[in-house]
Amino acid sequence: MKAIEDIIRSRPDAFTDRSIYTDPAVYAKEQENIFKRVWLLMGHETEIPNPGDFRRIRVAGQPLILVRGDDGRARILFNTCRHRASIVAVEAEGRCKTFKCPYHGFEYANDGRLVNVPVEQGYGPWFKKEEFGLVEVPRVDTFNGMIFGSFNPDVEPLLDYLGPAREFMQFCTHGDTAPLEVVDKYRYDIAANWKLLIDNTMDGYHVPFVHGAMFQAFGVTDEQFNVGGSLRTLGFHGAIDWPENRPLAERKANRYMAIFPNITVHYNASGDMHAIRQIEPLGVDRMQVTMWLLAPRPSERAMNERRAQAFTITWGPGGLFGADDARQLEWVQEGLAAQCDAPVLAARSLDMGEVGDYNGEQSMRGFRKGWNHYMGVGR
Amino acid sequence: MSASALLQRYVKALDDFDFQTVIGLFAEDAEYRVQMRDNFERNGVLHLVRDSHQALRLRCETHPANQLPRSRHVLGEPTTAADGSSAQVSFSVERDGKPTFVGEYRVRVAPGEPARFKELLAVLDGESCPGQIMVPI
Repeated sequence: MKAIEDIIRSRPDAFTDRSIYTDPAVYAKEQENIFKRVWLLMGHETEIPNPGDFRRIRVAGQPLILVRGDDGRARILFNTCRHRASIVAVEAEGRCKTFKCPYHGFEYANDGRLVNVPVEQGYGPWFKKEEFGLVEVPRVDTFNGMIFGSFNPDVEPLLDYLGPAREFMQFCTHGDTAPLEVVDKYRYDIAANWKLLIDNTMDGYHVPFVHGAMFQAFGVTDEQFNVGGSLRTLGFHGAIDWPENRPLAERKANRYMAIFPNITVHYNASGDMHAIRQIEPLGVDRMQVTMWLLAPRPSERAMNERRAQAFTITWGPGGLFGADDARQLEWVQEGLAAQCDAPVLAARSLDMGEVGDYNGEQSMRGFRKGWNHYMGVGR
Repeated sequence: MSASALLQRYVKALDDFDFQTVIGLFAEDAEYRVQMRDNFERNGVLHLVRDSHQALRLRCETHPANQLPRSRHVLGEPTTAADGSSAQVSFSVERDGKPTFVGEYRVRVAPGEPARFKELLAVLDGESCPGQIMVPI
C-alpha cells in the first residue's frame, strides 16, 4: 500500500496546498500565468446587437470596451487613451459613433481608429493617427454568442481550448431550437478566493449539508434528493449533471459546467433556464461574480419573468441556496488562514477515472489539472 | 398606521432578530423584493430576492439567528403618499458594524387593519452587492 505522502505527491490534482487560496504571491502569479494566457469570457453578442453598441467591462483587472463597430464586427478594446491613458468610454454602456477622451479630446471611432486629435499639428510630422488607435485585445472568438478574448496572441484556437468540453458547452449555451440571448444580469461579491466558487459549483457532496435546512423546509426527503448524477473531467474543464444517464441532447437533466479558469455555465431543466456565471478575482480573498440569465431567442417578457423567478429563488446572494453557498465559502476562506500544513482534498473517487458519481470530485480535479498546468505545478 | 411607521417597525424587528414580527408585518399575498438599482432602473426581470409570504417565512425560519451578523438599520426622511398607503425612504444597513447595504425602500401598504405591507422593495445602490442576503434587508 502506498504511504499517504506518496499519494499526495503523486496526485497534485487531488491534494492542494492551502496557500493557493491565501498567498498574494500565488494570486499575482495566477494573473500572469493563467489570466493573461488563456481564453476568458468577455461578454455576449446579444449585449451589443447594433453597430455602435458598447459596454465597459473589466476582465482580469483590465479596463476594456466591448463594442460593435459600424462595420458590424464585435471588438474588445482596451479602455485607455493613447495620449495620457485616461479611460475614453466613461458611461457604463450605450451606443456611439466615437469615444472621446474626456481629458484632451482625442477621439476614436467605434472600431478603435483614432479619428480626431485637437490641435494635431502640435505633434509635428512624425505623428500618424493610424498608429495611435485604441489597442485591441489580440485574440477574440465566439462560441454560441459568447464572446471570448485572450490577452495572449499565441493562445490556441478557442475550440481546441474547449476541447472535450465542447459537446457539453453546445448543450448548455444553445436553446433547444434557437440560440440564446442575454435577458438580464447582476453582480455580487464574495469574500473568498475565486477558485472556491468553481470548486463549489462542481461539488455535489456539499449539497445535503450546506442546503439541508432548506431542503427540509421544502419538505424534500433524502430519497427525493438522492436523484443520482455524474461528475466528469472534461480536460481542464468539468461538468456535473443530474439525474444521471440522460442522453446529452435531452433537456430533462440539469447540467452545470466549469470552463477553466473562471466561468460556470448552467442549464436547469426546470424552467428551461440558462445562466452563466463569470468570476472576476479581486484579490486573493475576494471575488466579484457576474451572473447572466439567458433565454432562447426571441424571449418574451412573461416567460423571462418566470425564468427570473426560478433563477432568483435558487442562485445569487439572495437565492435560498446561493446565499448558503456564499456564506460557506467565506467560512472556508476563514479556515484556510490556518497555517497547519494540511492539504485541501479533492480526492473522492480517485480510482473512478474521468467520470464519477454525484459525490465524487472529478470535476474539481479537472480544474486542478488546468491550474497546475498553467502554474507549473507537478512538472 | 402609515407606511413609514410600518417601516420603522420592520427595521427595528430586523435589528432585534425578531423574525416572527417581521413576517407578521406582511400581508398573506405580499411580495418582498430586493433588486439592484441598475436592474430596477432598466425594468430588468432579475431580482436578488423575490419572495412570496411563504418564501419569506422560509427565509426567516431557516437561518438561525446565532449564525447571522447583527444588523443596524438607519432610515432617512420618508416621502409618504398623502393617504399613507405608500412610501419611499433611503436606508443604510450595517452588519457587524460594517456598512453593508445602502439604498431605498419603496413600500405599499395593504388595505385594511392591521396595517401590513402589500409590497416591500429594497433597491440597492452600487454596481455589486455582498454575496449573502440570507434574511430580509
